[in-house]
Amino acid sequence: MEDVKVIDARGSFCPGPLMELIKGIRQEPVGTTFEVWSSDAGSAKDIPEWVARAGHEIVANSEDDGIFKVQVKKLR
Amino acid sequence: MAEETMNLMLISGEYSRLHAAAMLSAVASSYGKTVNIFVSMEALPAFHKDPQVAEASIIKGPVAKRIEETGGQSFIELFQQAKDFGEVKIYACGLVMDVYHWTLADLSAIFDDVMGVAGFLTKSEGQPTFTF
Repeated sequence: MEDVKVIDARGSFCPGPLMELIKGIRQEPVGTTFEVWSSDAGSAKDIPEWVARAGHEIVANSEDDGIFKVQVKKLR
Repeated sequence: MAEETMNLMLISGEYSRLHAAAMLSAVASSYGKTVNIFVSMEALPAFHKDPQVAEASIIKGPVAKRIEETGGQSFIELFQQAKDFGEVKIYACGLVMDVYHWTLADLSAIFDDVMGVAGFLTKSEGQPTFTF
C-alpha cells in the first residue's frame, strides 16, 4: 500500500483545506499522494478543480459520515 | 502558464471584497500566475499595522462576521500565503500614503512598494485587471 500523507483540515472552511493541500504539495516530491480530510463540502468540490488546473491527479474522492476525503497525487 | 499575469485593484474597505481578492490571489499564484495588487482608497487603511486603525476602516457584513466567527484565515494571512506560493507583488497607493503621511513601516509587512496610478497602469496594461 502506497504511503499517503494525510492533511487533516476538518473544521476549516474553504479555502482552508485547499490552502493546506497547496502547502503540502509544494513541500513534498513528485509522486507523493495526499489525502485531504475536510468537513466542508465546498472544498470537496473545489479541490478537484484546483488539482485539474494545476496538473495533478485525483486518485479518489469519497464521503464518510460527513467527512470528505480527497486523495491527490502530485504529478509535477 | 507561468507568464500569465493578473492584476487586482483593491479600493474598498469591505471585508468581503478584501477576503475574496486574497483568496483569488492565493489560488492564482499557486497556478504560477504573476499577481500585481494595487491597494488604494478605502482599502489601504485595512492593512495598517495598528489594529485600531485597521478595524476602524473595515466594513463587515453578515458573511464577513460569520467567516471570522468560524476561525477562518484573515485576508492578510491569505495575501501572505499568496506571496509564499508564487510571484505576488503588493503596492500601496501613493496618494493614500501621502494624505496620511504613512510609510511602508506603518503597514502590514506584505507590501513591496509604494506606487502611483501611472505605475500601476504601466504594469497592468494589456493584462486582465479585476477591481475589488
